[in-house]
Amino acid sequence: MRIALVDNELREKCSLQQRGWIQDHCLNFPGTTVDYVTSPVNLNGDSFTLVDLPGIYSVSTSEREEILARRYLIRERPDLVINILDASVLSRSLELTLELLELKIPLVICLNMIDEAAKKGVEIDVGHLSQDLGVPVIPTIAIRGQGVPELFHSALETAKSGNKGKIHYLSLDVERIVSELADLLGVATATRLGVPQRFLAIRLLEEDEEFEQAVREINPGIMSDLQRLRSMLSECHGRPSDMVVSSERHSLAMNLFEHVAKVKPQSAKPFREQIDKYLMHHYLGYAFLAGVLFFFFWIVFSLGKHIEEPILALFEHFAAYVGVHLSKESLLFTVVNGLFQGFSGGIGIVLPI
Amino acid sequence: MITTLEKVKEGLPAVVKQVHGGHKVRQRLGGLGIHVDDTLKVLRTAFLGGPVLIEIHGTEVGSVTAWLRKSKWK
Repeated sequence: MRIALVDNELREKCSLQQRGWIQDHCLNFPGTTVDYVTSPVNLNGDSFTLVDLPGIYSVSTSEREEILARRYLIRERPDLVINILDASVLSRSLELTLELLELKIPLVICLNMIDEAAKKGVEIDVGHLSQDLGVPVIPTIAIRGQGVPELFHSALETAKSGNKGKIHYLSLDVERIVSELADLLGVATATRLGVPQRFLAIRLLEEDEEFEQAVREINPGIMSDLQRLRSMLSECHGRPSDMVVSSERHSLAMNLFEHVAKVKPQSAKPFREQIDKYLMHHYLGYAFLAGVLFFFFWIVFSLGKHIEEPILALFEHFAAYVGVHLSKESLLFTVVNGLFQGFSGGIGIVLPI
Repeated sequence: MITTLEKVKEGLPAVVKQVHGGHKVRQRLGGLGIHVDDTLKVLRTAFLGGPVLIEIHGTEVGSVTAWLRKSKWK
């Protein structure tokens, strides 16, 4: 059984890694390898593979790492997806959940950082959210391991039952165009691409390049209808069709959030915000930056001079010891002596007097 | 008054009226939770043209990219 982890921010999955649930996790930072990571898990005799996908903001994307995550979900069809949501920014996180529900893959929601949400004054009715989405929602504080075993128990049960949740529909006029396009596409095209018809129709209205190219190759005759429906949507709403669909989904997510959450006004600004007021000030911020840099240089120079001499003496002692016991013309002496000189030279640079 | 993001004063709320950019820019902004008609607050701007930090739907989003600076806000 394969369970894929999908989130839209790195820090949510990091906490699962810290608790040892995943061996490694993939990074979306520039310059890092874009790939997914698998970890075998045995939970009370139930074995499964956790697949950690790169973080994605949306299924409609042109970013390389996000396309990789999407391709995995569509082509490999995991047995279940765990969508890790940041409870403290639930309204934003729900947009991806709505897209995942359109994919019709069994889904479980991990409502992580529930403590952070409470600190921000966000109270979430978990039962209501689960009812609205039609899938289990498990509140967790993954960094403390709270709720994580329950999450995986629920994931295994859902994978066995195959519960794919509820589809949330867009406004009536948009939904009519989506349905018309889905009918024109037909079951055959969608099945060939491995996605539900409605999902494919929405991706095409959102001008998804990859799906557009694939549909053009399979059914080139539909492109004129696609353009007609995009123009119709665009004319009705006065903005490009992709923006219409994206705004509709955003609105659905906001409505869902308002239905399941209450936000209490906070009496005092959090400590971090109070500090930020000075550290990130328009002008004072640069003075603080200079101060921090000066502090680090001062630490290096003042402490360095006390540490450098004993360390270098130690290296010299070892070098002398090696010189006595090894022939100065041997290869081993050259290598060992070179290593000592290299290390002591490095320390001399890092810890200057 | 409609202006660009970099001219909005710190601490003031603003409404996104227009996004200058193509499909990919709109897609990226959408992913970050920024849509037309959304209300946001400019938290920080830098006087040397550094990042603009905004708060939208309870999330702080920082960006130095030109498209976010040049988008129009009311």
